[in-house]
Amino acid sequence: MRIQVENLSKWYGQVIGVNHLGFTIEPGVTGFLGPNSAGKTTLLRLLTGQLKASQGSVAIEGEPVWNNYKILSHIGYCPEADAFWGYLSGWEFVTSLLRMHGFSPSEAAEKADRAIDLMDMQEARSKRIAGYSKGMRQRIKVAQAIAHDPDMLFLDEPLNGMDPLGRRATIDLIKRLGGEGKTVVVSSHILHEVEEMTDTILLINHGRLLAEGNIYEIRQLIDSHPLQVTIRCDNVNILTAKLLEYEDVQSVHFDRERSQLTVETNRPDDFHRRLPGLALDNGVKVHSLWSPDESLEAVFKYLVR
Amino acid sequence: MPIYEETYRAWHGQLAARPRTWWIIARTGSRLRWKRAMILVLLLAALPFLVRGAQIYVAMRLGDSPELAEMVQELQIDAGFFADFLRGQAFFLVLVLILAGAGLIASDRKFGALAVYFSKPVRFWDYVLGKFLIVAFYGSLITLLPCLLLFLMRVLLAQDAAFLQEYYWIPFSIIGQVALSLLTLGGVILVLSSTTGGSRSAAILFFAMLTVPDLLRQILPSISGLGLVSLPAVLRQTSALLFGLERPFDFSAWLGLGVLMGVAGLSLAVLKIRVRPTEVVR
Repeated sequence: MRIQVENLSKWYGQVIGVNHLGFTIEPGVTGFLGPNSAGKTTLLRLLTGQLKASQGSVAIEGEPVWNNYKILSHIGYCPEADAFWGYLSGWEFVTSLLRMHGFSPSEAAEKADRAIDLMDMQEARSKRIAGYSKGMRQRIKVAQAIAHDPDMLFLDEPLNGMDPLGRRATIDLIKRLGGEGKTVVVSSHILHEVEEMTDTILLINHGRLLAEGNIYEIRQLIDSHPLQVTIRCDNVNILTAKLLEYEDVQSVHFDRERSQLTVETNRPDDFHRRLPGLALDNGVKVHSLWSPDESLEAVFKYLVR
Repeated sequence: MPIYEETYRAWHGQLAARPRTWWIIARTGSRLRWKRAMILVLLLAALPFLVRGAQIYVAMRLGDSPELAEMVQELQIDAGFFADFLRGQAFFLVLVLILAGAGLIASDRKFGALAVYFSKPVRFWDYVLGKFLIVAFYGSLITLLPCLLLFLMRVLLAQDAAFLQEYYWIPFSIIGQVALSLLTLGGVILVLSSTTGGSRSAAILFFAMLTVPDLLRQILPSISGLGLVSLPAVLRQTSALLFGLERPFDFSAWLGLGVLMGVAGLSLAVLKIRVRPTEVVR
């Protein structure tokens, strides 16, 4: 399912939650990335029809989301804050919410079992949620979101409080659901979390969309910050001399051992196309090549500063 | 760019029929409120029913006995009998509404569960109706059900159809009076549950809202129409109207009916504002 957002704004009195957002979310995993209070939760609530937009629209496959309860059958939502009744067991919690989708008691039980198994919560299924650890509560929240096999999944900071194993399993699950063609939207303020789940991101800050696309595309938008490429090779001096003949190369730095150099270039595509030829022609053996700038953290720093 | 587009599953707009979520909310909520305190109050509330049932039995079956003749003569089983029974149950009704309703919305707000509710195919009306049915269910268990059973008992124990012919309208009056009580008192407890921080404060406020205006009415009898601000007084007045009895207060019963409708409408309006999944940004 495709989500279309047009000119979307939401304000609470004088406070602006999100401001003139416009984008389209395709099936697969999309990450909403931004610092705390960036407007991610507000945006997720607008996308799931829980908030009425002050201006603009959200549509799923052309159908407006606001006041359209039918759409909600296709949505799974995992809120950031704890959202359950502590006196219920995890299994009761998931089952009772499944019943609201119209499943019979036996269907709901079956689906709840499957979701709980998927989130590795079998042992704690009959315990009261009040006694759950933070990680367990997080996992049961994700379980209720995926239990009815929705076409769209909205997960607000889903990895908060999870242990490393739980994080790994949840990241794998999210990637798998995205690969199956579901539309999965994940919000996070932790850069590497989103980076592990998807290349497709929307950077949000102060309710505004800073950038959208994959990490590399976003990086290309930042003209004022040349791309850094680190090359580990022999014959560092020869390669440096050859690289400096090109206009797009802004600077070259060596390390002390002269085993690697870091190049700053304004035209990364041209640079990458050119490099293999240069190395071959000049007998330079390239051991490894990476771009520290392509990490999400670097992109985020540039855009959110 | 994205390889996942190859596995995209088109959606042709055929969506599942809407489930009756209000019924699921009501059922689950009612089950969760079936606790020791509630059972105890329900059992206590059954005592007046047993006494009234015994009175009917004695009047109908042992009325000819010379030892009981005097007592039976005093005991009139007419419209007033059923109205009195409902009035006597008012105290238990308040307790039951507190036990069933004070935490209903407060706990959802406290636990942030509204966000989860409204991410399911649940509308405002489903939610409110579901919650209202929980208080209505328990409220009816100690008012509507026993009162109708008493009427049925009276009819079945009668030798002829004279009572039924004369008082066939009483079940409608019972239903009407219970509906008015539950709509207003149930609405108020849900509003308090949604506006106060927790079930305890909702319970205290509910009790205060019912007793303080009624005390004022009793302390200041000279002020005409003060009874209109007391829900118990207004309910007694409408009860008198519905059961065809002498009005206990000097204000119009129809005006009282209007007050009750106003309270119910206001409750709904407040709930519409309070029952939202949104976070408040300040």
